[in-house]
Amino acid sequence: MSNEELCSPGFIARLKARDNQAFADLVGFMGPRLCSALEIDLNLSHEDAEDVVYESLFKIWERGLSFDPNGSAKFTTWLRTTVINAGIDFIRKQTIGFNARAKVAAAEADDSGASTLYDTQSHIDWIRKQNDPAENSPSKIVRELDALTRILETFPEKDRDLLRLRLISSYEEIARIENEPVGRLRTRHMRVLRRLKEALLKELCIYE
Amino acid sequence: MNNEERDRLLRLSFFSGAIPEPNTIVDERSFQETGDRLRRKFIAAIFEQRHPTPVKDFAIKIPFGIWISREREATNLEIRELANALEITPERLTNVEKCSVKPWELNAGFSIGLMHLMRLHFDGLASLIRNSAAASQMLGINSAQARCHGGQMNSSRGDAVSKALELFKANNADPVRDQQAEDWLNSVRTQLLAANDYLIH
Repeated sequence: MSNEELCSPGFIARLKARDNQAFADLVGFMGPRLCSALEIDLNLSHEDAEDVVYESLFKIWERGLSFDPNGSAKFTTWLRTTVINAGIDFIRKQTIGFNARAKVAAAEADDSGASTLYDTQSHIDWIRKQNDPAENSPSKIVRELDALTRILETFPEKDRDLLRLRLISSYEEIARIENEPVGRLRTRHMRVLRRLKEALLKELCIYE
Repeated sequence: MNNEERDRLLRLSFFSGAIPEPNTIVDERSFQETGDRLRRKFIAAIFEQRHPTPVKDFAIKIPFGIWISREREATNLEIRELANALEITPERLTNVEKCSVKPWELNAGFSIGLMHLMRLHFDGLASLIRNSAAASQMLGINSAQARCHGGQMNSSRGDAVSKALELFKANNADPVRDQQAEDWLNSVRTQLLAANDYLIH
């Protein structure tokens, strides 16, 4: 299967007709790609990303495909947006649970616990801005490249290496090179990505 | 900055002048594994919707292979898809569906996987296996089957005739007790009981 096949009117018609085989092909082809998008864009773990992708695609299958082939968006873009939104909902739910538990723990420890609370809304706003085409003019990309380069210089060599390796290698391959368990490596990569995002956020003053 | 652009920026910062092609960035093996896992989960969900409670009995006497074939066709899945979900080759599944493989020659563990995926209760499995055993012991049909295949038929018509004959045999054969089949069923039962599996209760 290819992107062209996936976006072809024939394949979309099969999806609209709830053809199980077409859905299975969609799940098999787009599933891993959407998982990667969630891992990188939203910092979700691979397991969480897989759950979110599966639930989203299954909902589409259950409710029927609502994508309009005559609209302006490509099918893959529509799919990506749907799954990213599901990922954002997932983070929101997780964070509500985390904050509730943190508040209970803080109350028990007679502490306000404010510093332990994760600012979900800022994170979500930032993700939304990232996915907004209006935010992606060429001059902005140049500015961001400058900022990114500056930030990367402040990162430890080990973290830079990890980011670099991850662009061209699998976690398993890096784990072999670094002699580190895959799980720990994955977590470290996610943390570095998160730090990178936060640093970019500050550097570009997105909230101003 | 969207995801692809950010990755492009990262590649530009790290690999200026020697940017790897996007296609080389894909972790193929992990992609394949994730895709297969998601597909299997989806196929299981399709059968769960089809049979909210595991199948225990059947309207007609139907052999094991034919039941699998009919279930697959009813869910509009291709052989390769179900084979992938069952973690066997499409050729093997084709042989199972055509009843060229006796079910009790299959690995008991594989059959338990199939029962979970296709929502088949142990009572249902036992019934299918006994139908297959009865059909396999009916005499005088195999030569007719061979003649059909040797004529002007193409393979799909030949397969359809073969399946129809298997169904006919299962429905018309006298019940028999095949020791091999019973032993195999016992081993499946033991494994299900040991795991306290819901498919046996």
